Amino acid sequence: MKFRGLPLGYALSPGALVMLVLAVCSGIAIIALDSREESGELSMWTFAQPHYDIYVPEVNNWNSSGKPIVDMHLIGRQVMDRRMLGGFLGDVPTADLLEAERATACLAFAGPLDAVGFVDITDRLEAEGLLDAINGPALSPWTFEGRIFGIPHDVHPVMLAYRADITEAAGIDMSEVETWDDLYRVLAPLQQRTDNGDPMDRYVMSLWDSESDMLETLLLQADGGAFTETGTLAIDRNVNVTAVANMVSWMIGPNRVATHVPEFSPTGDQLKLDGHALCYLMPDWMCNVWRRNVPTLEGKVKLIPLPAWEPGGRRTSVWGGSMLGIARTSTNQDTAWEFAKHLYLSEELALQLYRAGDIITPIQEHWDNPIFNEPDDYFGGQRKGRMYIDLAPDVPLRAATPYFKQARGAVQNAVSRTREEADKLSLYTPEEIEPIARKHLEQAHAEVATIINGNAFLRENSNEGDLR
Amino acid sequence: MSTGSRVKPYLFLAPFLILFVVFTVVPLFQAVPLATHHTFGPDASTYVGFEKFAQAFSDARFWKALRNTLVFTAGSVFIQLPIALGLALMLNRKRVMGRGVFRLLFFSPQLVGLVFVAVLASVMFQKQKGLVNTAIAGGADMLRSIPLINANAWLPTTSELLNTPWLESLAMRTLIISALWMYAGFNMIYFLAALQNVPSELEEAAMIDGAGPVRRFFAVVLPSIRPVAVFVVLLSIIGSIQVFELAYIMLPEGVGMQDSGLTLVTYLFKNGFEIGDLGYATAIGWLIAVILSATAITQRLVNRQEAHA
Repeated sequence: MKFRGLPLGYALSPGALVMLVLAVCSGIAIIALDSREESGELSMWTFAQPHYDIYVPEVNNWNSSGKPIVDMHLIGRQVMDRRMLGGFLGDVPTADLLEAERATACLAFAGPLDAVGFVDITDRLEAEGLLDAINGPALSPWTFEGRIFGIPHDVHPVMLAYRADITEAAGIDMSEVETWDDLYRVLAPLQQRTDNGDPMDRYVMSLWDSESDMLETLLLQADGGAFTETGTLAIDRNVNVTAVANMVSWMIGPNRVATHVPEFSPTGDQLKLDGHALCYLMPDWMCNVWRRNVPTLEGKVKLIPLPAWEPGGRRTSVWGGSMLGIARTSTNQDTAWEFAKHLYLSEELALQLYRAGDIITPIQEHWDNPIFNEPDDYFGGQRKGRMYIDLAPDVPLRAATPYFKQARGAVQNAVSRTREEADKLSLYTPEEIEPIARKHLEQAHAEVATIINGNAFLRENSNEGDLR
Repeated sequence: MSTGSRVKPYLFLAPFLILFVVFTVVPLFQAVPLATHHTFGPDASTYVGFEKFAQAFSDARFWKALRNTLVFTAGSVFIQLPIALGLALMLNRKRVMGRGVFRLLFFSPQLVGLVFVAVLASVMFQKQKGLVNTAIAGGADMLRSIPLINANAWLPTTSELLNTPWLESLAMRTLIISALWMYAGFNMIYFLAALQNVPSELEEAAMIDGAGPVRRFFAVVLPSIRPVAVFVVLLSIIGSIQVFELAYIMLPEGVGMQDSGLTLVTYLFKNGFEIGDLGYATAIGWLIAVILSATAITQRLVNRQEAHA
């Protein structure tokens, strides 16, 4: 082919010409096809494959009813983080509806109230009487400065799963466990250490300082945590010091009872099968993870409410959570609200959430459904759904703060430093460990306070008062 | 020269220049005001002066990230590059059988890509069941079976070895080893290409003069490959200071326990895209740019001085 007749023709090889034509054609196609606003379609992003699979029938129902077509997309969690925050910060359109996990959604609360990228739905919830219909604690992670920005997807109460096959073979009655101390006392005879000539290591509890979710779950259970319910930073409060000192005492010393079984990893799954740990923190959604990843444990695992920190104390906690929010840039906010209600409040979805994902709905009127009373073979025939629902109202409140990930990381580092220092000094009792825990938690508090103080919009809210 | 002839070179440069201006120069200028503001979206912005830079200098995590990045850079330059050169010297010898196969093997991590290597390495370095700890524990068990050396007295227990926290607390060591796996073969190719251009008559002359292998290496080979070596060192330093993907994929939360694997770019990324503090992220970006520029200028000055000498 000759191009000498064209300007710069001698530089344009056939390959370059093909690329140029493709670029022009695809550019035109992209511009021509992006007509969502004109057609009035709604778009929705979700981050989890199981959620997506559960929603497909409901979305199809909606789309076949003659209402504006909803276009649902499954995107990765990290992609969701980037695209949502990029959209909110750059004021470029995102999807109309965003189903976001807590770590993602809270990024929207790093600015002033009127700059939150989600639509404030407080008035809509109040006007339609939905505030009382939803489990109270489930709303807390999406409530920023008293305003609600998302419909909760779940409650995620936490129970304790234990290897019933091993405990029952040893004749141990788990019903007498009320506190963490009870648990370790009752199960101590089942511990094994290869160093003592046993064939394998076996510990009572799966808990380690590298698992920040687990640490947060137990701190929240103890009425602690990095933030107060109102979002004030409070890493160094006494309740955290005591809880951290206790947790570290479980991880070190001659009476160590905890070990590391990582979640979501083949290594962890094998350790579960081996019985490396006897007990595990089990939010409702984790039941489904176990069912899929370690199916051979069916019938060998049972649940009890979390042991309390003190007799009569809270027997559950919370781990994870997601919500459905409407983007402020959406041009179809009313339709998006109607669809959000259709999807999240329907009984069919609530049942499907439980059937397919073992997740308890936050919509209280659906809790009476008999499906939640059905025995679950995986958990030795226990009525698992009812057990989780009974605990749901007692789930601790969590603040909506963009800094919870940083705070959670700082707490994790503090626990890790405490463990290392206490182990080095051979200090193994909670009382001995407390001063070390306090020192490191105070350091963690200061680190996070520095980050929060760097936020000119939230500066006045950080580090308020002495909560100790 | 006609006007058309004068314009043509710029037209050919135009595609690159347009992209460079749009995606590099303009953001660079925009980054100046961004680093002096706290923003949240286009409607919420407040001027904070040089507070973000001051924040970096008083931020313990920034210094930790800088220290970790320098450790990684030192690992790349002082461990990875000598090994790459050693491999290249080995494969440059004509007597080595299957040189092509070895070359491919050492280079193969580059073929599968960084993400693949990082994911695989993160599985290998896991506690309890990871290949590395299992192999070390297995080796330790073999040593224990030898009665003469009394290995039980000085070796950690099997349980301790299986729980070696490579990804959690030993993050920098893990990253350096993984980067070695990833990049040693890549740098080896540079060195190999340079070695193949070393005049054989020079080496032969040195050999006739009685120079041993070590003397020949320092007196003939190293000066001959110096330009390539300088280039590889500079690339390694710049690449190491920008290390991000490896740590982000391999380590828990992308930083390991107690920030043991936190790097400068990871810290920039976390501030910008996990906290949404674009001002602070930009300030860190400027500081990285200063470090990179200083490195390049220093290296250039040193080279110029050596050339004059």
